[in-house]
Amino acid sequence: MAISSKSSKVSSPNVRIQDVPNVPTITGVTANIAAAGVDVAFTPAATGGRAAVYRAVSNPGSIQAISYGTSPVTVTGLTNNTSYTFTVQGETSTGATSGTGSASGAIIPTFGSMELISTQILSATASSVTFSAIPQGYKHLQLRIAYQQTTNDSDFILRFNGDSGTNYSRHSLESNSPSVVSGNLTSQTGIEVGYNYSASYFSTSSFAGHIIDILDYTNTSKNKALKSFYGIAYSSGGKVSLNSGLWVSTAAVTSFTLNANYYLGSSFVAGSRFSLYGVKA
Amino acid sequence: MAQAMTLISSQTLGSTASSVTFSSIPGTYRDLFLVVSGTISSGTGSFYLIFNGDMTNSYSTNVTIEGNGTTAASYLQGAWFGMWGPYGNTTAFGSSNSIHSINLMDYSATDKYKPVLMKSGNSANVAAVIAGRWASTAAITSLGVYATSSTFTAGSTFYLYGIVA
Repeated sequence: MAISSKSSKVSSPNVRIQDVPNVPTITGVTANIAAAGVDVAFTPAATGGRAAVYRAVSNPGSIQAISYGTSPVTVTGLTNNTSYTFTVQGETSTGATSGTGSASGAIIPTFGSMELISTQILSATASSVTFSAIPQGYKHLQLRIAYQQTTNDSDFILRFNGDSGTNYSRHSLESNSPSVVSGNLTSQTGIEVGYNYSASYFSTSSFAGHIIDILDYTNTSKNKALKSFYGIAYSSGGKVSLNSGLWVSTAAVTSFTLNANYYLGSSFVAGSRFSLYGVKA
Repeated sequence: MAQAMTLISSQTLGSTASSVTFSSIPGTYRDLFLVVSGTISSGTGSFYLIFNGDMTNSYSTNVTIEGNGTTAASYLQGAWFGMWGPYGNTTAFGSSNSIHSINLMDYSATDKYKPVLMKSGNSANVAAVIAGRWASTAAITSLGVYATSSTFTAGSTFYLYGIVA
């Protein structure tokens, strides 16, 4: 039986083979406050194919996230107080991958509803304390203070964003016992939120406690409100005070200053402590 | 960014107790924040705080503003062996479920007396704000909450948080 052989020509389909991307280079890992995650920044490889997506993978946990062509990749769902490193790979639309290069440096996410922004502890007397470049990723701010001033019957004022115009008001409920009084101040050049006794009234070890909440501080459609809770006790007396304050401005709060020199030339004494926190929505 | 507030310990009473103590408090935070929610068995009861077991008259002074829905008043408590919570204005404080948030500022500082800020309210009739001081430069390592002439009822809760700075 004869077997005939027949050759045929097969035309290849019009398939475009994509180049495999080379490994991107990780340039840093940073906390992303608003996303409660970690930003893994990278630089795409200068050679090789073009990646459609970049995929970051955590170690431990193999938690993954992607970005569509741009740096960074934001990885969420991480566990607080755990040390993570990350790798990044590029991927084409057909699934070809670059493989991974070196892992990033380690980062320990510690996200919570309330996070410390910064603390200032005075090493010498100071007439004012300023917090500037305040991060905008929170909903509210809380300022916690333990302080003393150098002058009897002195207080301090708070000004936002360096505004010294008459754009502030304050209402108060306070007592030094037995009287309970309420007052208001309008069209002020700052919010008067403290009223302290100096060391001459009591032991120099006595400090006042003060907690100030600044609400919705980044909202650009609202004037800015705060509430403060202040108290001090000494050997034969004391004072407790609740205040509400208003800054008539819709600007986002990016800085504020506590000015003790506003009244009677006072200053904050050494050892006074000012801690600023961000509170998430 | 560092997480600022961390739960150190909590206690929920399974039965009545005259006091609750948090001991071996770490000195690694800047402030303490104590939340008490519960009821005191005596209608006229309140509570007071004791630090490091110190029952000398070194809790001078605390100033209180209280309102009971009709009147507002202020009290001055002189040197005493504990820091008072709300007194109870014209009616008893402890008989209704109440909540108290207590800030202990710079509790581990050894160069300061310890300022205390407290807000209190109960479900029936009293709201109060209180400023107090423990006249000691010792770091606070234990904290006792004592019911006055009475007991905390079962189910009362006590949550102690640390705040870093």
